Amino acid sequence: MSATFAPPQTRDYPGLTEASIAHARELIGVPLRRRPHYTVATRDVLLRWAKALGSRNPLYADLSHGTLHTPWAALVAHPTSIFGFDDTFVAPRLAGIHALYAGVSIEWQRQVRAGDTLHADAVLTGVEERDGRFCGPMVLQTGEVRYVDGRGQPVAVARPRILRTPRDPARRLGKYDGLTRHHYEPEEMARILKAYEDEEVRGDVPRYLEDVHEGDRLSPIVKGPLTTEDMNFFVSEVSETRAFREFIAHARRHPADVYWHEDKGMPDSWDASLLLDKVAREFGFPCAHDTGLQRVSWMEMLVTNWMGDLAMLRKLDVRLHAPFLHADTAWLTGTVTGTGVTDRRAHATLALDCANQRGETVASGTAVVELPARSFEPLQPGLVVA
Amino acid sequence: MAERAITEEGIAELESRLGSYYRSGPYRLDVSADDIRNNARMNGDWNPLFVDAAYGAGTRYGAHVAPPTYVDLIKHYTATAIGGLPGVHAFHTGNDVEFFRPVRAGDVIGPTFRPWRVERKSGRFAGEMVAMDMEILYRNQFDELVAIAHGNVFRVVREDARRRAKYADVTPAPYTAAELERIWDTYDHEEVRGPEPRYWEDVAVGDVVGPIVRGPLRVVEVSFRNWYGGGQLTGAGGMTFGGHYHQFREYLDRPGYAETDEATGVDDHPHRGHWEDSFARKIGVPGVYDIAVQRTAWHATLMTNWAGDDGWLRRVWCEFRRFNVEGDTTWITGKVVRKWIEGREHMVEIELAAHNQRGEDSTPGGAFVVLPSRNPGAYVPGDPEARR
Repeated sequence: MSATFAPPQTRDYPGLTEASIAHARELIGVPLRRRPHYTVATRDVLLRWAKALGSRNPLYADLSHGTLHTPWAALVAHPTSIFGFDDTFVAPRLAGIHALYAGVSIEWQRQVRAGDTLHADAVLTGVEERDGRFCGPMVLQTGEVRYVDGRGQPVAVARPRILRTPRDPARRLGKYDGLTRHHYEPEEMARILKAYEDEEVRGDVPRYLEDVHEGDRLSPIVKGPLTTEDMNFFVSEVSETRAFREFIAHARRHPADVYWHEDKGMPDSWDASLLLDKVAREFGFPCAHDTGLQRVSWMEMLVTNWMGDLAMLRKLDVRLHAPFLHADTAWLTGTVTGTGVTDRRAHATLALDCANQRGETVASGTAVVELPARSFEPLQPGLVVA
Repeated sequence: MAERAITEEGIAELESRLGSYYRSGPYRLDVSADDIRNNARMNGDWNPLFVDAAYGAGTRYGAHVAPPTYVDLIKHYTATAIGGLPGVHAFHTGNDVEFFRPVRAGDVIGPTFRPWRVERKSGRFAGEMVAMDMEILYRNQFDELVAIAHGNVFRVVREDARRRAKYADVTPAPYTAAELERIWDTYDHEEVRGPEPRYWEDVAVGDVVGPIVRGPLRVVEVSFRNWYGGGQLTGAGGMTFGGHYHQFREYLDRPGYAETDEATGVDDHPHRGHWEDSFARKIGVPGVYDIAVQRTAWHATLMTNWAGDDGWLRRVWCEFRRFNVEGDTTWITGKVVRKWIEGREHMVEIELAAHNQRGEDSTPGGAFVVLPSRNPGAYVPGDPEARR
């Protein structure tokens, strides 16, 4: 390492330029270097993911249920546990420009079970210039992450959306400056705790295609208030956090991506904003916040709670619309928008919503679930045919 | 409302359990290559023996082995699992861990623990305290003893700790560029002995070991290491059981355990001084403080770096005399103080220190290391017949 690595003289962060955007575009289609947190879906990995989500679904949270009582014949992974094998943050280049997760579209080809090996390849697929009230000009990077199993067979494909948002304009515009951590009265907490107790998991009672109708409502779920514990659990499952020597080596190679603590004169990584308010405020958020991936996982839980042990989640599409802050609570609801059979696959399509404690929509999406059917025509969900 | 004080009844209850064995589920069902790699990484250990799953096959172990302090991920070797004295905080004060056999990827490790000691004490930090020790035995799937760990804690009433805060006036100045350069330089010069044997015959009393450096400490290094760096702060075994529902259910089931966040009115983790600055200060610590077993691991790392693939860390012990807080940098150093032969084992004793940037030794300790010897009958690690 040659140059001195020390706090920069000024706190002005880089802005977007034609050159830096063109530089980012050069990577479209080029295989990216990734840092997978896990390579093997051990029982521990799958059970921890269920814990991190606050899941009680026995298919994913119990060691013997899936093995003894379902056709999967194993401890099954929550579909979004693939994030532990690639976190889908595809946001290369544009050093010094903040990155915010904006959503993802995922399709699953196979279930993941305890013992599976998963490998992911990722490419950047697009770099589009956008504009908005948060920071003015920004860039949307889209990507494609392909997960395969130990045999090289496709497991899932994720298409993430990451917004690149310059920090200085975001601070100046102050779109979210008025927001603070919510304070809960005892009655509000009691309502949330009751919602946890009332949460329904369909589990081993099959939800047949013939019994599902357009307009059916999914049993709602609550997540929150978001605590530091929730952050620790979740981030520890998806992030290959750099520590000590690894962090310092990375920071010295990429000085433009470093957050400097002014009071301590020490470098840090930007994921500290998931816990530290002062880091979040640096890029225009009012306080510490979620990763974005959490809301995608909660949407998945809303659907997997509803669909039952025999079903398979085939597609999940989630868009994030606003920050989700520490102490926010998410109320997730969904509705059936249609059912049918296509190429011998019985399916239901769902519309999903995620609102915070102020009633604002912080995420929305759609899902496609493959369902078991009473009719003998459709295949059993998840069955792979040549 | 639970009593948050050290009471005679509370102490008597703890004393009545001395000699009782507890077998809790391990925090991990399987020792996986990913877990080994992440455990090493999150402690700053980059030894290929631990972070490269393919490397160990070419060593005497013939397999991917875990850092010796990995067993903390099976059952955290502090003494908080003993419980008792609800609402009375626990500070981890030391470790003494002996290692007998390697842990390999694919092994299954089962822990058993029991209270070892309960004793009233008083100190400048927080007045009246209770000292508690816990012993943990770790066995593998062949019922072979892998390690024995001792963890020591002080139990302290939180409000008392804050009132008597002896650290309240510590306000560190920011690092200068020269101070940072010194840290980067130590990182650049960290050595891992690796495949070249360090023969017992070539080591002399007085030899200096290290330094290695760890820091400046970041909150994410304490917080997002939960499952890996050691210290199962969140998770099974007496801490919280998971996110969202699991967490709130546990707080309801354990009155007096959670600590309400004043700004939000929401219950949150009672040990969040490990990642929340305002909470740390509330209990008398001048900032987010580390999970102390990380420093036990740093001592172990200096030893495994130095001992090489053919050496074996037999024992490491240390006392946590100072908090290690956000922004602190720690230099781990050692000095060989003794050499001897015990049966087939060629042993050295290393005196260990962990000096921070203020010059304080936060974690004095020591270790026994078994080194390879030119004596053909010497013990080598991984040798199934090798015991004293």
